[in-house]
Amino acid sequence: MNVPESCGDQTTQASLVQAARDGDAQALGALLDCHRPLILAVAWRLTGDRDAAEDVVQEALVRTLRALPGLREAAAFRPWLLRITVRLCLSLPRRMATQAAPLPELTDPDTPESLLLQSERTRLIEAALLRLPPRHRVLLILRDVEDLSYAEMADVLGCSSNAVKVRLSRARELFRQRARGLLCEEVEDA
Amino acid sequence: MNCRHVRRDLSAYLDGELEPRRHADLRAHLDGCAGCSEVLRELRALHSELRSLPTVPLLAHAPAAARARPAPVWRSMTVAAAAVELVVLAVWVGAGLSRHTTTAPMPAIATPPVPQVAAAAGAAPSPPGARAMRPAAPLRHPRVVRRPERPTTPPQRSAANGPADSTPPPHKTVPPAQQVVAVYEAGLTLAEGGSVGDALRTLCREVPPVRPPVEDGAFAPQALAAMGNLSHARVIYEGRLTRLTGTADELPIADRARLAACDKMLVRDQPTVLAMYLAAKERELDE
Repeated sequence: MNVPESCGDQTTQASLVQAARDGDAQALGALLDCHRPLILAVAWRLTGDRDAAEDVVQEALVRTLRALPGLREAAAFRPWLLRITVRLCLSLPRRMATQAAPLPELTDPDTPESLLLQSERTRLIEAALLRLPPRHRVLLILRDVEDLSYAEMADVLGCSSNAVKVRLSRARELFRQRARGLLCEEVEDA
Repeated sequence: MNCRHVRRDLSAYLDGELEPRRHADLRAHLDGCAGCSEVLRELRALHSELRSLPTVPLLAHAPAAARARPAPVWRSMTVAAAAVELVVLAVWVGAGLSRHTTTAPMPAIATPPVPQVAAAAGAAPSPPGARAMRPAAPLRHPRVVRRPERPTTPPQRSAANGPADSTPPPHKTVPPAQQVVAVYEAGLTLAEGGSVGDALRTLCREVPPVRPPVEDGAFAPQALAAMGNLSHARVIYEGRLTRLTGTADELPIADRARLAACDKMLVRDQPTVLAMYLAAKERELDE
């Protein structure tokens, strides 16, 4: 798992975690700032809804802050934070069972990214991803979008690397079928 | 090795996670099986497309873009409400502290114009916690404290804010009233959509970081940040409420419950955290 540039290298990050644990408010602020973009991106892709993702991030940060003094290894901070975020996201469908999952609106209409998303194929890929069950979607997001290794995913998901391998294989096969179906529908409509 | 076994392993093959022997077997199968080769080609293409998906725009961290657009009405309302609430809390806590630290009676802390206007217009309901608190006593301090000028430019997200600059500022003596202003400013930063990090930096600009002794445990900056999160969460919920329905009554029951829970947490946590924070500062000043 690559540490973002804003967090410095692994050593700097570990010292930030240590300082935050010892009560340094500035270190805590820097730590939250550098990890927030990642967990917001993961939450957004997992929930498909910006407001829900913001809620998840807020709750994840609060839980992280409350439990930070108990964290034994500073290096484990990032996967730990991701694990909290993923669990919160995966618990959302049960809490919001009556709300249908919307199609993704992942970009601000004013940004260049929105123009990129207009690319039809990209839109379909986004849609296929969002239509996967969350337990499968999370594997594709962590591995293919965020580029985590199997070992890091195992850490985040709380299972073995072998289990990650098996589950990822199933998720990719399902995604292939869904994406293919969507692409075929699109061709027929055209 | 049949097609069923091969398809199960294609994902790990794609990631280079197969053992060498199994990798070689699978490679050999692919050379003679058009169907499995086609599946692998599709998986590889999808993998590549997922990797190149556009980065999710982090609107909450795009102050320039966000501030270029006019702020929605709900935001100004909730900012005002949050400001009123924080001022009330801050003055209340500050007054409690000042009874132990100073003797000369002085005028109350200068209230910023925004909350006054909003309160007069009744723009947004103040959380019940603010109303339930003890009335604010005049703050005792040898001078009237004015709210510091807010910076006109958004906080720079550069290396200057990063870990390299995380060295605590030199310790300085900060009057309790100024600490109250700093807490108020930090709350305002959150209410206006700033991150917890921004708020903490706002706070630390005026007040050096608190480093309580471990055995004390009465105050942790984590709790302060958690308090900030609650304020921010309230703004988000209230904003969603107004944006979706226009009134609280029409909000789905689940969201109304969350809003109420948020209010309860604000009432429960904020005075405690602020009091602990200022008590810790008071101890530092005494030393």
